[in-house]
Amino acid sequence: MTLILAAVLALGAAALLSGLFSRHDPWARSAVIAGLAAAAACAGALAERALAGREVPDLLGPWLLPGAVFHVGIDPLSACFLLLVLIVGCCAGLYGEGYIAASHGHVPSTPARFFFLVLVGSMALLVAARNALLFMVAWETMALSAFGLVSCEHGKPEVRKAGLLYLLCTHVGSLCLLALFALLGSNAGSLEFSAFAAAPPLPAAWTTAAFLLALVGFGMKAGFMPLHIWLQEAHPAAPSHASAAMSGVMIEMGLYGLLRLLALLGPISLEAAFFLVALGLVTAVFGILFAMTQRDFKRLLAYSSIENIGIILTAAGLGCYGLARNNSSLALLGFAAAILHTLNHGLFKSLLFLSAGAVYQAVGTRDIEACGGLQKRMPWTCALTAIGAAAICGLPPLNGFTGEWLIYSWLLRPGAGHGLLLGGLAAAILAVVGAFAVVTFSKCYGLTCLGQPRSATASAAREASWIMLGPMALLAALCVGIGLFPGPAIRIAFTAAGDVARAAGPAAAASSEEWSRLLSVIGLLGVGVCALSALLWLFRKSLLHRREVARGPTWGCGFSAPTARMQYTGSSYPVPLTRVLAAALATREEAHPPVGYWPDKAAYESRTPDPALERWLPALTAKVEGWISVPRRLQYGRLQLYLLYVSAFLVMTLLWKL
Amino acid sequence: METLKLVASDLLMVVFAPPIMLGIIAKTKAAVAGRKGPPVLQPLYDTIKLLGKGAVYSKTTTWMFRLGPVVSLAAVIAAAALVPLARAPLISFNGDAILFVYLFALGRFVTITAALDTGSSFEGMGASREAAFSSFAEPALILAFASLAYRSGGLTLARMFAPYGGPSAAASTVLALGSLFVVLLAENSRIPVDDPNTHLELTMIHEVMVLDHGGPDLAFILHGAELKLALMASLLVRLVMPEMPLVGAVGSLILGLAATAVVIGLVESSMARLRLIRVPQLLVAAICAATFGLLLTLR
Repeated sequence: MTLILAAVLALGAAALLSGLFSRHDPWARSAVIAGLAAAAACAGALAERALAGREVPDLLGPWLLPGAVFHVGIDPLSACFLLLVLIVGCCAGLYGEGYIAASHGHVPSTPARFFFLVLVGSMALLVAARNALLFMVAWETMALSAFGLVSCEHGKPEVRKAGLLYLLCTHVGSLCLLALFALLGSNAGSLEFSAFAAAPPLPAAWTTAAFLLALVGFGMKAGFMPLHIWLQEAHPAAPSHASAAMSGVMIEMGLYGLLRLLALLGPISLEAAFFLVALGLVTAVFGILFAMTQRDFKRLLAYSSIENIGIILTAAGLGCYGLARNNSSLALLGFAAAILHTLNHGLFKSLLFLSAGAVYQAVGTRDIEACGGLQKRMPWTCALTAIGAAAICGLPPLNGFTGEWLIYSWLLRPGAGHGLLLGGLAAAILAVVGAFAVVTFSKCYGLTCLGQPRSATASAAREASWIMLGPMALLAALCVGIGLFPGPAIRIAFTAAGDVARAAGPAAAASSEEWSRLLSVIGLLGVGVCALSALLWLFRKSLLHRREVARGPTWGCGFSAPTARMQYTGSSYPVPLTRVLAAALATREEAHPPVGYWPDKAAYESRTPDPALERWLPALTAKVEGWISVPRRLQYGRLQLYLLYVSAFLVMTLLWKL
Repeated sequence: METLKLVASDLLMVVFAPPIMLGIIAKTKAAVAGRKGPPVLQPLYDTIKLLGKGAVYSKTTTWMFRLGPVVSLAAVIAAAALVPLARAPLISFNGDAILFVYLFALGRFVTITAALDTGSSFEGMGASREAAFSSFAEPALILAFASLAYRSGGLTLARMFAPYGGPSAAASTVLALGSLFVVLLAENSRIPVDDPNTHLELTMIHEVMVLDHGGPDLAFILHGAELKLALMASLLVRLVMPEMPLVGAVGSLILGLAATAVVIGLVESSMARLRLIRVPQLLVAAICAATFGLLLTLR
């Protein structure tokens, strides 16, 4: 168990060293790589031991804070998330070195390195924390280091704005969590997680309050609609390796928190489970809808993270339904699907964020509309992007399909009861989300990498360095590997789900065997698709071997001078859908069409603002401002007055205690 | 020997039935229009001829353009392994229906990206429409599958698509059949959603995506599309047609496919292509029909 401590310390030491060596770039780089490698070795060994089912003793240490114990432990659920933190952290960290070097000073290297290592270390500590105060300390360290990463390039006004928004949101979440732990702690009489589990259940009203606090506190981090407002602003602002770690792992810590609470506190009511499923589906649908309309590569990916969080939340809600119905096999399946999709999402989303970073470094913009034709110029980056895009659409034979297939299997399982209609409808909504994802990511990959370059910078793009490509290739290999041979990942997910579903070991193992057998058939069929494609490719090659193969311009349907500007753009590509769904999207268009026989300059602009951020939040803040205008009269901005307030408060508390 | 016969009959269904089905559709349309029409085997001749041709590739294209036809055909062939063609399917497991749907999605994804690879505005247009309309077809398909899975008690294609005699069998079968038939027309670019024989690229969906493909690539695409039509049609046939005496399982499937082809031909002869903005409405109607079917299975 000291291994987890060693990993966190290694990361912390590397962070400090990278800060100390800020003038010696090679030294700082070696510190980062050594720290990540050491952490990976320590924590990887630990996670392996926990997932293999061996008992790992907890580590308890004294701590000066009142009520706090330095208590860390690891169970399969922690180990599963620890593994994700490590894989994504190491890949993104290594990539970050190439990214910082390629940015030629645009990315300030010292904060980017320091905060990144702190972020990874705090997440490793977070998943191992077994005491509420330790959990909160790790949570806040994670949140603040992410703030440091988001505002890395604080010279830009939009980055400052995004950073501030993130800071506000994350603190609203943290306040809710503090209240939640205070509530649970006062009930249990201790801030130890084990005490929470052993405590008598809360009264009904307080249970609802705790549920809502957890939902807002963890949901703010995970990005449940409409709490997602910071996500699409913060992710594009951060350097790409940081957004990969934030989107691939950090937001999933919100889900870890929810799952951990479920594991501690036991089943929630049936209504709450339905609410979680509905919230997940709404988040998924609106996340992907807004992703579809974006033209900023990283903003698109951020919205798609919201969609995936929605899918994971749906699966977790299905697990809760199983718990509430006392059906352990359903609970196990739901939670396993949630955890598997969390793992998969961490892999392909960080891969795509790393690709976005490579494209940004090469083209100098995140605007899809200025890209195009990159596959000829950056063949490796684009090939890896294609794998990530296909995986995130949930297409077989890649890993995205495995988790979604488990969710479909849950929803469409035959049986009796009124839940079936809802199951069928939920499956249909998931199918819509999947089809929208195909629209979004065929746009994201197709218009960025394929076709002709739409700008001069795009046509001058150069391939990324190997230190950036290597980690991307590793992530892509994991995506393909889990898709073709899903057995190990399934076992990890079911073992971890066993903790949440409170299913006894043998039951979880049997269920895991059954589902991994089915998914192995799918994996084998995936291998078959690959083999068949290879055969057909060879067949095609042999057919063309003796024939004339010519190269010419693209067929312009009779028009002889097509230009790159006539290609479909990121805004026009989803129009058949956005027109139909105009009511939900509220896309603002400003058009000055050509008029008359000798038309003047024409212009067209469309923008899809985020309703939660740009319409609901201002309305809410206006309301809140109205409410707080009364207590604001106490605020005069004079120090003497505030000192008076403080002393008055102290006297009041003394009087109370008398 | 028995397995050999099974494989041979499956291969027959995968290689020869699809082009002949398309030939029957063309023949039906010609007959309704009072023409003689091309021979029934014409699509097969076309494919064979294309396989022997060279190819012209656009200078804009990359490996994605060449990969598209190959992977989409491979995905459809893999889907064929899941479909109960004449007898039991090659591979069958609980949940194969979802894989079936997603294999088609894989084929669509690579076809769309191959189209975008040309950088042509027309092919971009086709890709955009294909991606959009399939977003409406997919939920209809899943809902219809859901009602069939619930009533048959298993999420395997072989069980879902078998004659069923439970309560309100006729009504739920009709509703599932209706929605699946609309999805079949939409997914296989038939009238009223798309017209494969039109001469104006502006109005096409699927055909405009493959404008730049030629030679063996086009042959792969054509055969993949025909096979997809035949697979979906054979599911419909199994849903409503019991095995007939005298002709056996293979014979009744072939007869059913021929009948489906005639029905598609009649639909195509009797109506015009819908305006593109009407297509989502048709597919939403299919979604509604499938939802009603789902309601009927819940009792």
